[in-house]
Amino acid sequence: MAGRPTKHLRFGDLLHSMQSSFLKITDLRDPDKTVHSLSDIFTSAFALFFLQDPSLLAFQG
Amino acid sequence: MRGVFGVENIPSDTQLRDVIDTHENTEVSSIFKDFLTRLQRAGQLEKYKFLNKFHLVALDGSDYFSSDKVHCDKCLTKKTSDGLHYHHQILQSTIIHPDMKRVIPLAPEFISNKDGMSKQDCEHNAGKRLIDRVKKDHPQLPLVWVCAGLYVGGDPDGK
Repeated sequence: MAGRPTKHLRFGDLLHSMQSSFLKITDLRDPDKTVHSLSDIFTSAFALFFLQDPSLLAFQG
Repeated sequence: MRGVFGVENIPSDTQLRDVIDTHENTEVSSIFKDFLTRLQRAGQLEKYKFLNKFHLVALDGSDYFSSDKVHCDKCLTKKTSDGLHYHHQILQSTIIHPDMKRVIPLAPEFISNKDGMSKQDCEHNAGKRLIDRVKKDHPQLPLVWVCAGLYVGGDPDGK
């Protein structure tokens, strides 16, 4: 099993699959007052934990 | 963020908290199921077989919020000598193997009060929900649940 990850387990495939799930989430916010897409927000949260950043506040920098 | 994760418009930490807090965890729990299915199809779960057949799933609860003042409708409460204590708990299950450094987390179950409940939610009930959900999501996966003592006296299968 060692070596290159199989097709369905490459980082890009997993990220794409995850973001597809994010796109299915119902956005209840007022679209006229929305700046960030739900996918961007949820992906950013994932990135925070994926990169194991110790600070949410510092992470945005 | 843009190059690796494809985030077009990076939110601030406040925006991130404010938006995510309004969504139920169930809206993203299908990701865990999808990832485990991918691992299974790729044969990666073979390395986690125990006694050549089973997969060990460790199950345990944990506090992730605790306060004597700040609380919400879903908070669990505990009476103390100083009054009410509020807390939130999570039940996490993870596929483990003694020889594997990596573990494979399954979707968590939140231990929280919901509208209309007459009694407080508890780890035991959340365990039943979690086990039922995992069995439904992965009916062909032979699992052995590694649980804490509080599950003794009831069928660890949740039945």
